[in-house]
Amino acid sequence: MLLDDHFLERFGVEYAPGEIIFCEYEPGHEFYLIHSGSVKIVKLINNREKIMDVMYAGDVFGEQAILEAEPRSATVIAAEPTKLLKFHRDNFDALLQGNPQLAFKLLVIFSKRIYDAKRRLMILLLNEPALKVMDVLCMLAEANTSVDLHSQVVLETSVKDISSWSGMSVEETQNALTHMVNLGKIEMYPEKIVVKNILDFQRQVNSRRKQMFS
Amino acid sequence: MSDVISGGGIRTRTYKSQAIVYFEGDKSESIYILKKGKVLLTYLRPETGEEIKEEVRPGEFFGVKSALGKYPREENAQTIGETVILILSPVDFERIVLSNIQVVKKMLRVFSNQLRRIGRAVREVMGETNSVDPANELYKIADHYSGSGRPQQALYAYKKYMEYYPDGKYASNAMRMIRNIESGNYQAPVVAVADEPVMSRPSVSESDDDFFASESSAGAGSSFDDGNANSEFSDFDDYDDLGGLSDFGTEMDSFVSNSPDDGMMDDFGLGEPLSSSPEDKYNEAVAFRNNGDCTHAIKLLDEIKADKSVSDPDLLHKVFIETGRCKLEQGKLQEALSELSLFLKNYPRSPFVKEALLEAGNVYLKAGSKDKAMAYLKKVAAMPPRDELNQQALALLKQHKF
Repeated sequence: MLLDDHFLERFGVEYAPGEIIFCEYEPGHEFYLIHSGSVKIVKLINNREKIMDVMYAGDVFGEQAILEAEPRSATVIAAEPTKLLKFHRDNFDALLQGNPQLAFKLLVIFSKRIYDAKRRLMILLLNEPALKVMDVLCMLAEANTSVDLHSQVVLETSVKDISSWSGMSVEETQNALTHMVNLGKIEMYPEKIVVKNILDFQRQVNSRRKQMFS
Repeated sequence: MSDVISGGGIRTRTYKSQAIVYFEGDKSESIYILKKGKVLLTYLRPETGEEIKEEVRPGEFFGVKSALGKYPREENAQTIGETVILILSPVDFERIVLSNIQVVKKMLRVFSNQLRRIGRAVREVMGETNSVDPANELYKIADHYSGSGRPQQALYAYKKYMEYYPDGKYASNAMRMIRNIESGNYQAPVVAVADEPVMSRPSVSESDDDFFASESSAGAGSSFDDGNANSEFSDFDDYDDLGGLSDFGTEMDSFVSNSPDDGMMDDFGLGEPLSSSPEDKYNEAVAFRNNGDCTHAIKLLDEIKADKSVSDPDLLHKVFIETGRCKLEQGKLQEALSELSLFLKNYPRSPFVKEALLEAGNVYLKAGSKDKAMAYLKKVAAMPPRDELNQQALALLKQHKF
């Protein structure tokens, strides 16, 4: 385990299955490390609860509270009997001092978050729906390091996911995707999209991106 | 360029002037420390296209984020003058920084500033100037859990609402819900399911007669016949063969029995719109329906329809379908069909067409008109892309052994 036992005594909290750890939009001052068990990260989308992620022992969540007192961006619910270590923002420095492993974990989490946010910004800045959709597909392909971009790429995604990344309505996104299907550039299946030539999409997006500011 | 392997797999590499350490888009797990010389990182700022040049100073790391986050390099790294660089694997990097927590803290500070800056830029591009009110959103979550039969989660959220917003506009409702749940008076809403067993004792709801007495509806005529494959459903307004009144009466009964009668929801029935923005109102309406109060849900939905400032087509489309759903739950089947028919006629290319067709299938199921129900559900089941609506339609077809 990452942390010594005395941390568990001092910072340990236990949750029963189904118990909420924190709720989206609640102000947050603490972040958590899972000692044992697992939690579901959920959001209400169109009044339906959607599971965004599941986290297990060793994972950290709620870390945005370290930076600033922003409301929580998702709800976290214990998926089974779960033991967490709960750390207040004020203890952060002292905690890092004693737990460089945790600090390292946070570096990795922030690296990923920065990339996601930057990528999202780049997609949103493109001015054509088709290009936005292409760039979302490129991003999803790039995110998977084991994917060979030179052959056809299978992406586990949906119209709704793409619409949320591109900041467009589901209808607009669907139209752009349908157009690509009609052109034979992609194939759509339940929960996945096959892109025939992702490098071609990358070229088109990059070339437009260069033109945007010239 | 020359490599020297030092302890723990760390390599020292000497570069000539103007050498490329890496290109933007490269994938690599290596992390670098500049030992001697100069490295220039070059990238375009996404918002402006402006070229940014950052100089790495001796002793500083670079290439950290992309290596740790496992994504492509975001900048070009080029040497200026002869330069010596240490190349680390993520494991080496971890070992080094773990022994020097100050380095990690400094990096976390830099990263958090970057994250904040990009987050701000994203919000600006999205036009999120009027940010949502966390108090209202928190209350909506509480209502959602209350309405979906999860009192413990609802209790948590209502309590948090009271903790942070004791003077909030929903405070009295939240307190009442807390008391109800804590005193065991919480009653899970009954969700109307189309395939409930038909009750044996017939009864009449206020809308039964209307359904058969009236022949046309707002969507009368050649509704939903835009010439595409959907045109086979242009009989949306044709209610003639919906079956006998007695069958229908028994279907209605299950609805009547589902009405909440414990007074728990009375406090929601103040007749005042509880929320301001159209999106808020829509969510509130869904919460009302989940709580079994379709009358107030419809009132809010009507307000959105009447609001000329609402321009989001997705929201308007959802409002039509939600109205249909409320009418269905109220047992006002003809009105439900009119609403859905009008929607399909006016917005045949909406992304919510499939949802509307599924609801129409549900209405016909409720009305005991199996042929039509089957036609609509089959249509939904076959509509690409395959998603949960297809699954729901297939499940209903299976349940009803169509």
